[in-house]
Amino acid sequence: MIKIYKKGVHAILNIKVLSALMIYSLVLFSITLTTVYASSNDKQNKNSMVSGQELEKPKPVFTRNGGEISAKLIPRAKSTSVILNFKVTKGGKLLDVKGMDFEKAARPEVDIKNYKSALFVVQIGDVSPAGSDATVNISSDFFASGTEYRVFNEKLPKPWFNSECHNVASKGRVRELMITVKDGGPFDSDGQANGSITFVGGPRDSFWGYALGTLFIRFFGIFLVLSVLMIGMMLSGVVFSRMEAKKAEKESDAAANDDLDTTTDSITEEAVEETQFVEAEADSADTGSEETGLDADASIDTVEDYEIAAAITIAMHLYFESSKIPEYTEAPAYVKPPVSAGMQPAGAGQTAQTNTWSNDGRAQMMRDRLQAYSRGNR
Amino acid sequence: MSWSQVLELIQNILITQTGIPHVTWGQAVMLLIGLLFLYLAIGKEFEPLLLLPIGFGIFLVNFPLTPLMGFTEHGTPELIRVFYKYGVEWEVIPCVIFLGLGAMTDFGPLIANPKTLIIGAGAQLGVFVTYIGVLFFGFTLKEAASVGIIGGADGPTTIYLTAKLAPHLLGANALAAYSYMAMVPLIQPPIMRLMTTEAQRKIKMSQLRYVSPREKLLFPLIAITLIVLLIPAVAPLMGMFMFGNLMRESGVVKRLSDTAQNSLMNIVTIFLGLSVGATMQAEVFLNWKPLLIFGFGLLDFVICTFGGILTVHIMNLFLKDKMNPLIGSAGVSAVPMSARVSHVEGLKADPNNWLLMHAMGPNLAGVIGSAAAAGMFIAMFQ
Repeated sequence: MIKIYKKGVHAILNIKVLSALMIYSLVLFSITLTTVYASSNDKQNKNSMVSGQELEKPKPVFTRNGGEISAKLIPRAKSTSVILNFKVTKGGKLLDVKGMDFEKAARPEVDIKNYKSALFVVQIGDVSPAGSDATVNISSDFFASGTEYRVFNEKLPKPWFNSECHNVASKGRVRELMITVKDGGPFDSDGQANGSITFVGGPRDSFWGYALGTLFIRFFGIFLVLSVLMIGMMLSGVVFSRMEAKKAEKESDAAANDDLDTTTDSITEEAVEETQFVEAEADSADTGSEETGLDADASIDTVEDYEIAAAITIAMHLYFESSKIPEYTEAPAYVKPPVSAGMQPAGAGQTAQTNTWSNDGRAQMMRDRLQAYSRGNR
Repeated sequence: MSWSQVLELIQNILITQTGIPHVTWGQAVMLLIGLLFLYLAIGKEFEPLLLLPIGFGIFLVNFPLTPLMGFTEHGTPELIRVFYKYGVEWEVIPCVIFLGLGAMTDFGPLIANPKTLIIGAGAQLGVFVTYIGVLFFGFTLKEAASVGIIGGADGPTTIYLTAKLAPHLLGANALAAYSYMAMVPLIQPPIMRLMTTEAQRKIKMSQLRYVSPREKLLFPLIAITLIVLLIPAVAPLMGMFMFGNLMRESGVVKRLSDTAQNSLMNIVTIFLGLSVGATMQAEVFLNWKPLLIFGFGLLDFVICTFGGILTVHIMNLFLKDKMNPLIGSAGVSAVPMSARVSHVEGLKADPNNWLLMHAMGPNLAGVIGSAAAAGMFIAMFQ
C-alpha cells in the first residue's frame, strides 16, 4: 500500500502530469463558472439547455387509408422512421388519431425514456350501444414481444396504468397490440358512456432492459466480428506462408542447380576431352559433395557476414540520417524515452547484451519505421 | 442634419453594427477557451494539426454578430456553416480522413500477428461502460453512444458517429477525444504499471513473421468483405479506409495514394478543425453536458486501456507464447502514440525489449475495433 501511495504521489508530482491537470482544471473551472452564470440568467439558460430529449422528440405524421390511420415517426433512440397502424376492429369507428406531447402527461413515477414512440390520442365514435366495448388494434414492426401499451387518464387518482393488451405476432416481423376499451370505462378519458371514446396512451418498452441488453450483445458482437476477421487472416496467413515457402524452396533449388551447372561446366572444361557422359555424371556427383562442404564453410562465414552487414547497415543508416533533422529530437518532450530506457548516449541502464551504439541504431531504425504510421492522430 | 441626429446615427451604428455591446459572459469565456486550445496547440504542441484549427474556430465564432455559422435571410448557409453542412453534417470529411489514414497505414504487424485483433476488441470496453455510465446522468441513448465512442480514441470515428447521432455534442466530443488522445502518454503509463508486474513487462515476444506484398495487397479486400458482411453500417468508414490501403499496397496508383495521404488529408483537416471548433458557440456549449463529457471521456480512456491490458492477461492464460501485456494499452486506436507508449514502457522494464512493432498490431486492431463499435451503435439506432 505504501509503495502504491508513493508511486501515486510521485506520479502526481510529475510536472507534466501536474501541468496537464492544471490546464484541464482551468477549462473545467471556466465552464463551471459560466454554467453557474448561465443558470442564473433565464434567457441564456433557455438557449443553453440543448436537450437530447427535446431533439429526439417524435413528431408523428398521420395519414388515413380507409378505416386505418398510420403514424409515421422517428422514435427516440432511432435514426430511421417507423410506422404504427391504428384501426378499430370491433365495436366502433376510428375517427381520428393525434400525437400528444409527453409533457402534458409527465408524472414523477413515469420515465419518458420508456416511451420511445410518443403518446397518441385515439378518437373512437359510433360505439353502440353506448357504454359497450370497442377493440383497438395497433400494429407495427417496431413493437417487440415485451412491448406494453400504457394508458393515461388524468381524471383517475393513478393516471398511468397498463392496458393489459394482447401482444401477438403477425406477418413478417409485425406485432399487433389489441386493446379492449370500454365506453365510459377507465381507458376512456371523457369518462362518459356516450358512444364516443377518447383513448390516450402509448407503447412502452423497458429502456434499461434494452440499453443493458444491447450493450452486452454489441460488445461481444465486436469480439465476434474481429474474431471472424482474425480467423480469416490466420487462414490466409497459412496459405500465404506456404506459398512463400514453396516459392523460396523453388528459388533455392534453382539457385542450387545454377551453382551445380557452373561447377560442372568448370570441371568439364578442366576435364579431358574424351571423358564419357557417365564419368562426367559421376564427377558431378563428387562435385556436389564438395559443394556441400563449401556450403558448410559458407554457413560459418554467413553468421559473421550478418554481423558485419548489420553493423555496416546501422553505421550507414546513422551516417545518412545524421544529415537530416531527426523527427525524434523535434518531438514533444513527453514522447521522448527516458535515459533509463537505454536509448540515450549515456551508459546508464545498460546490460551485457547491449551497448549505446547498437541501441541507438535500433532506436533510430524503429523511429524511421514508425514514421509510416505517423498520422498526427487524425 | 443636426448634431443630435448625427449622435443618434453613431449610436445606432455602434449598437447594431458592431460587436462590442453584444459580447456576453459566455462568449468571453469561450474566447478564453479558444485561446487556451490555441496555446495547447502552438505552445505545447498537443495535437496541433487538429487543436489549432479547432481552437481558432472556437475563437472566431464566439465574437458577436459574426456571419459564420448561421444562415442568411434567404436560407443560404454562412461560410463555416457551409464547411460544416457539406463536410460534417453530410458525413463526408470523416470518411475522407479514413481514406487518407488507410493510405498511410501499413497493416504488416497486424497481418503478421492476427491474434492482436482480439486486443483491439477488448480495448473497446470503456466505450460500452461509458455508454451505460452517462445514461445515468440523463443522456439519451444516442448521446450516450456518441460520448462512449470517445474512448475508442479515434477522432474521425468520434466525429462521424456524433454527427450522425448527437450533432449538438459534436464540439465537446471532438475536443474531448483529441485532447485525451494528445494526453495518451500521460494517461496510460500509470494504468499500465498498475496492471502489470515487473516480470510481465519484461516478456519478450518472438519476431513477427515476414508478410509478403501480395498478402498485404489482399488484406483490405478480405477485411472489408468480412467486416461489411457482419456490420454493413460501418461500410462508409471501413470502405474508405480499406480503399486507401488498397491504393497504397497496389503500388500502381502512387499519385493517388500520395494525394490521399497528404494533400487531401491536409485540406479536409483544415475544414474539419474549423467546423468542429465553430460548433462550440457559447449558447450551445456552455452547460453541464460538456463537463460530464470531459469527465467521462477521461474515464473512457482509462477503462479502454484497462480493457486492452486485461484482454492480453486473459489471452496469456491460453497462449503458449505469452504476449507482453504492455501492448494491450495500444488497443486504443491513437495511432501510433499508444504503440509508442507501450514501447517506451517496455524499454523501461528491459532496455533490450523492443515492443514497438508488436504494439502496432493491437494499435491497428484498435482502429478497426473502434470503427466496429461505431458501426454497432449506428446499427442499433437504425
